[in-house]
Amino acid sequence: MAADLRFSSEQPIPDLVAGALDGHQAAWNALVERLERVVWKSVNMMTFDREIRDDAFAATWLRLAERLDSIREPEKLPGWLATTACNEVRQILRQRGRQHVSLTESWAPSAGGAGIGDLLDTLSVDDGQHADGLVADEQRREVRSAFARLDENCREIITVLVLADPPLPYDEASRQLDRPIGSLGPSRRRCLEKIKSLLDPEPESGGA
Amino acid sequence: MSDDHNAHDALLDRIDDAFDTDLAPIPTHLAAAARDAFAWRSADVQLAELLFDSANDELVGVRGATTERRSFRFGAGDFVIRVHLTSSSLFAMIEPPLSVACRVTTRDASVELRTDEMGEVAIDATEQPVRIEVDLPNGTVVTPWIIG
Repeated sequence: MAADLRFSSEQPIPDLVAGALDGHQAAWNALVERLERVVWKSVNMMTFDREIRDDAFAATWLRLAERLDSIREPEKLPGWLATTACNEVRQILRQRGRQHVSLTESWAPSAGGAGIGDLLDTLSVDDGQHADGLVADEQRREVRSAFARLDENCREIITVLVLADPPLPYDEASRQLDRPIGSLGPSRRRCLEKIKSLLDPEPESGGA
Repeated sequence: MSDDHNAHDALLDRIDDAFDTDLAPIPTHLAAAARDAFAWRSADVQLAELLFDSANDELVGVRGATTERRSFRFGAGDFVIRVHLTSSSLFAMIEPPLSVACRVTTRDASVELRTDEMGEVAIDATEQPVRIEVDLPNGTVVTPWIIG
């Protein structure tokens, strides 16, 4: 199978969408290569349950394929994919009645992928730099664990805010997330305050 | 106000970094599934519109831990396609009733069927994702993928 050199993941997203709409698998492949990380990160932020994460990832691409010709503004595809990926996770969670799973697993020591195994790997070649690395590792793990304790709505809103590049304007986020536009600013604030309180249960009083 | 806003932006960056830095590589089979999804595109077939999904019904959803049946309603022009899924069967009904050719498609297989005069067709449960393609008088319509 000769490589189709007309399409590469470096090209503007609208060109790749147009190529895929013309039936070029190579354009679609380039689109996947360009955007698969957005989808993967979205599903990883929404759940620690591997099966649900994997199914939602695959489902998101099926949704894009079936709706490709109704994508009006292809340059905003990252936001569309992040939202769709979040929705697929929520749909599967709801359907399988497994809301509790992501919470349970977030408490497990290996939550989030960088588990005890990775920690041991790092320790075995320990030196000063790795000690710093361990602190940073631990901090990121704490953030992931706190994030997993947010409710689904908060996880979805923050995931879409983090991953939509270019950022979704509130009117569009409102449509895609199916929430009233006036609620997004306050929700963003509430969700971020919540994770802040989870990360720093007792804020320092003296100030900086 | 703006301090708050900056602090929140910094927090968003921190969350982003927490997931981004340690993100596991995408498993090969999933990257392949993403590429394969293109083959399932039905370019000349109209996508039916989801009108109702019992999984989105809050009452069912909240208590849905053991949901044994899922119902859908899809709109396609003047027709409605109803689908009921249980652990053992897939039932579809065209309204208003019409005997037409249809196909039940999964990733690996597609089964040719025909609705009866009541517009109904039933088969054993299939694996998911699954979708139903119906040859309506004005053209072929396909439901979105049903993923459970």
